[in-house]
Amino acid sequence: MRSESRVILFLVLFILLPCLAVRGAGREPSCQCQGQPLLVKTIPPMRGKAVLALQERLSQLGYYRKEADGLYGPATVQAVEKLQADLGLPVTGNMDPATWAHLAWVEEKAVVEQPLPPPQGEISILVDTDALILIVYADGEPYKIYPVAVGKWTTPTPLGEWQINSMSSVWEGPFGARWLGLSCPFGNYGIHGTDNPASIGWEVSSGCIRMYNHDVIELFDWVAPGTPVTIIGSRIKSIPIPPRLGPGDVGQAVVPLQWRLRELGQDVGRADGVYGKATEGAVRELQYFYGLPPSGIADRNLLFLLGLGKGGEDR
Amino acid sequence: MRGRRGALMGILLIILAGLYFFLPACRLTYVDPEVQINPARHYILEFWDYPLPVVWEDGTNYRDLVRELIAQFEREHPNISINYRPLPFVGGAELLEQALREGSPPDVYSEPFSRGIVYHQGLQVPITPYLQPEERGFYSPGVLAAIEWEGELWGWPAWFSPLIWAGNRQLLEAAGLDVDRVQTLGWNWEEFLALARQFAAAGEGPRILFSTGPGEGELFANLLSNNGWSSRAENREEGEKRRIVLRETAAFISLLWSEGFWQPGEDDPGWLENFYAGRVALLGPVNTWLLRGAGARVHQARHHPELVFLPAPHGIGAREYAEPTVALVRVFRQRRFQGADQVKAAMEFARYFSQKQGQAIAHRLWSLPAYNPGSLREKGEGELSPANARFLLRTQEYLLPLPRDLAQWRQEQKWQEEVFSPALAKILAGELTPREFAEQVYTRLH
Repeated sequence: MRSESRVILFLVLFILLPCLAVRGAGREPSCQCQGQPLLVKTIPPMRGKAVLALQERLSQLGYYRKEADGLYGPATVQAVEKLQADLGLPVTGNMDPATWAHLAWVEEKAVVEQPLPPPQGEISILVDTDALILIVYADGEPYKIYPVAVGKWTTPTPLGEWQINSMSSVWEGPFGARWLGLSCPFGNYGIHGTDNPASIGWEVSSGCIRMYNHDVIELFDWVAPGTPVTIIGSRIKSIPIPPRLGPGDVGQAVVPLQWRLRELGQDVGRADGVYGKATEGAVRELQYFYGLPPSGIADRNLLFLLGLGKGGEDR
Repeated sequence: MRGRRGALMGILLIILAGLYFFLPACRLTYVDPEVQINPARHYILEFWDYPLPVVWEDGTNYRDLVRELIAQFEREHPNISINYRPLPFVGGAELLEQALREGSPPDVYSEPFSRGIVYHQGLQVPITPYLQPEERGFYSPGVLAAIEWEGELWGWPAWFSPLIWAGNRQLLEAAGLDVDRVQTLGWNWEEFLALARQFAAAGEGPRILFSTGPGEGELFANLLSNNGWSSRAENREEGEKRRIVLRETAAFISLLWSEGFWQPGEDDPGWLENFYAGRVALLGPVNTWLLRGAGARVHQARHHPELVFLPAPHGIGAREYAEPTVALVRVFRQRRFQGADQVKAAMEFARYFSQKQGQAIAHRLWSLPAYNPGSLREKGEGELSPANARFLLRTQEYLLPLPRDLAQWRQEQKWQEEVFSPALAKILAGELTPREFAEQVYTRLH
């Protein structure tokens, strides 16, 4: 009886296949899905190489988080349902031809180019929060560009010069397949994958930098703790600056000061949001030059001179 | 007998020959400007300089300028290499002093804020023998006078700038001040007081603001020099006249204080912003590059005051003096003499660097290039108004000389900190009258 119902279901789907394919063709490129097996929720769950391959593909996209076991169980069903929900498909939990087609389309969209060999030389990362891209540099030359999602206006991505200070390939939840923690001293921010690939290209995160899972997996292998990560953006102009910044202050407001000091040729080390010895020394140098008391504290006069205070018209 | 006499003659000859060669070497500043650079020798010049926080519109900064100038010089002199060492403003001067003590100063030392004319008698080489007569005419006579000591010029002046007062033309003219007259002819304490009282009477309106507190020795020294007293300038009155000058200056400060031109305990770190926001009519004393730096920030603002440079007000019956900042490029020889040709090479670089740097940098600091200062106007003055450019050029006529050496500079600093400031504090506290102040200070200084 059970085998009969399977045959009927298969025939029904076989008849519906052309219709579903036509539905998908209007939105995305057609794919060769005919060879894909129909994977559905069953008790006991389906198992085999096809399920294993599916799990790996879903994992690449950040939908499947567990170890691939070849079993079409609840975790796989949940991943398929999430994929279907994201793509606006009927949420059945079954890998029907439409879902296969859309899976291929998502993969095609996600894979911008062929995988590159690991970059050689000194690796650094630049995140442009305006262009919503992450650029990997090798010895100062751009090597690869990735699309990213960044922080919302209310929870902005921290601008500044950070370093990767933690790396994890075992990550769960919305952080996708990999986590690269940043050394930002005023919050827990990182570069990570996502379970919401549709969010890439938008300002939607809580401040972290989101990447496609396959991108962050690739990036993960290219970097190491200490890799510099610079995050820039036009939001620098609207960062509120208090009337006084001094030794010991830590925060986003310190970064524009550090960048401005560097523009003037001062050595502030990394613009890391920490008003440390280097920043204090650079402020003192500037005060000395301008004939102001060399206190090392960025007071209203100095901030005004730098265009960072209340009257900073050129920011 | 003959043999002994011959031996004695031989010894005498050896001694004479030794003296002939040894004595000139003892005189450390001995150099020969006639010696030419040896094309067969490769010279390495140590060059120390302070990176100025200056940026150009194309994003290049001062370090880029220095690198470019060095590269250009090295191209023109393939047998000369320059080792560039940027120094920090804070502590850089001490590095030089240490090197001088050790007898190994850099060949060329470029300094924006010269503290004195001669840093080391013996190792610092005067430039006068290397200055061509026709070249001298291109230098500002005022700045040459400020760096001359014992008939010698002790460095290549690059740029200079007077300590000035900054005014908001609209506000000053509204208060009845003839700004153009003051810019051209100066003004005295009486005129200054009349203006200050007018602003004070207006209550919460614009006011006059000093960039230092009333008890700062630095301000007092500035007022002193504009009242006919200085340890540097020659032909100044001595003795009783000095007491009078001290008393008058103290009385002036005391009067300003008692009339409320400084708020008690005032610590307004936002005076620059207040000036550019039109809340302050007159601000002083300040340097021109501070105004240039701040002005560049507000230049594109819709409303910004028309900035006028004014001289410091001077005492009644005295004349004005401008305390200059002079950027000098000095040449040193080392105790272990490397040859007159090495000095010649250093002179060539110092001359080249000072002239090029002065021209390039003066425009960015609203200062005057020491070489061909008139070029400030030829270049269109940048954002400088023609009146301010004229004013700067006029200040060449009344620049104070620099302290003659570091000892004198230190003495002046000590006077400011240890003599003037404590005595001023007592005046402001009502514990001393100006007469008592003058006696006390005069006794301490002499």
